[in-house]
Amino acid sequence: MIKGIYRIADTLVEIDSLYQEVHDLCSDYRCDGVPQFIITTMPSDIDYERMKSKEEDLYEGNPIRIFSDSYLETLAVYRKLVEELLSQDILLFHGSAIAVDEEGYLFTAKSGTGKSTHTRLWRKLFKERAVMINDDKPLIKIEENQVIIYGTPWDGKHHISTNINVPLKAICLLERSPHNNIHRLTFTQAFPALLKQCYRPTDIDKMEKTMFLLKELGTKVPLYKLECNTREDAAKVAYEGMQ
Amino acid sequence: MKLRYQFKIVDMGDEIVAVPVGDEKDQLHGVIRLNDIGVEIFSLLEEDTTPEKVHAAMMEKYPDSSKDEIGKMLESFFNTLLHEGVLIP
Repeated sequence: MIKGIYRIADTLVEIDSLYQEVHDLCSDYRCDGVPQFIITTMPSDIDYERMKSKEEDLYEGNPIRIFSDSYLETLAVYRKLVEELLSQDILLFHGSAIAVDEEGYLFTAKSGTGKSTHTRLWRKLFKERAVMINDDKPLIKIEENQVIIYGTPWDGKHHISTNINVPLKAICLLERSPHNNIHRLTFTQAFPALLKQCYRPTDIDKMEKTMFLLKELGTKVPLYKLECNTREDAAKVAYEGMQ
Repeated sequence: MKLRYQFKIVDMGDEIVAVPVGDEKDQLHGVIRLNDIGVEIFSLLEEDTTPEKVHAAMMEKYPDSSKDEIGKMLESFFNTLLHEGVLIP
């Protein structure tokens, strides 16, 4: 086994893996210290990720993608990490997260909608004021008085992320549109989409915890729907709508 | 007749939804919005049952409603769940 200790979402975790790839992926998060828990992978975990990837491709109507065992192991590690972090009130969200003036904004939608394209517009608009937190799967911690969004090593095909954490100012459901428009959503309106874009455990008790945390998140963080195009003013409309 | 998946009923405050949970949750891509009566019917469908038993249970809960009214309501409800692949006949 190949071992390493990392600080992810303010949690020290030891990863014991079959392959080196996950350690290369997490290199920016390496640290010393006593881990709070250990994640160990087995060949059956890799087989499980292969199966889940195939299911997703079939559902999306895409050709079935072939991944290496080492890459699938990185997914297996994240799945185990996320399941463990639930006990610390931390959720995984599929989305593109960006910080402006040290406040986080999460854009979430199904793959291919344009989340990364939109946050790219934010970076162009805000320049050095903007920092990409994570372009694929950030972590969100729901505390009593604040909600924090974290960068993680699992940052998408372009590997855009920063090892930072900031208060989460807003969550925005993204939808393609010819025109730019943003409006506030109630939690009830946003819930189905939020549930779809967060990690949903198979274990029923963990799923209950996930839904509890989602409800907490919905009461603590403003929710919006952004209908937008890819023109530059889309970022300005979105930002001003969330102030 | 019973529900194909396990569900967790979540009270959103102004709405109630049934969220699929368990091993097969990913096969159902969405949640089911329910009213109070829908929640009651859902609970009756968690175990294997028959339309007649569900009908009788609802008649007991709502004695002021006619047999026909309840029958039509249940038929519509069952058909919707069957159409969505949520109910095993």
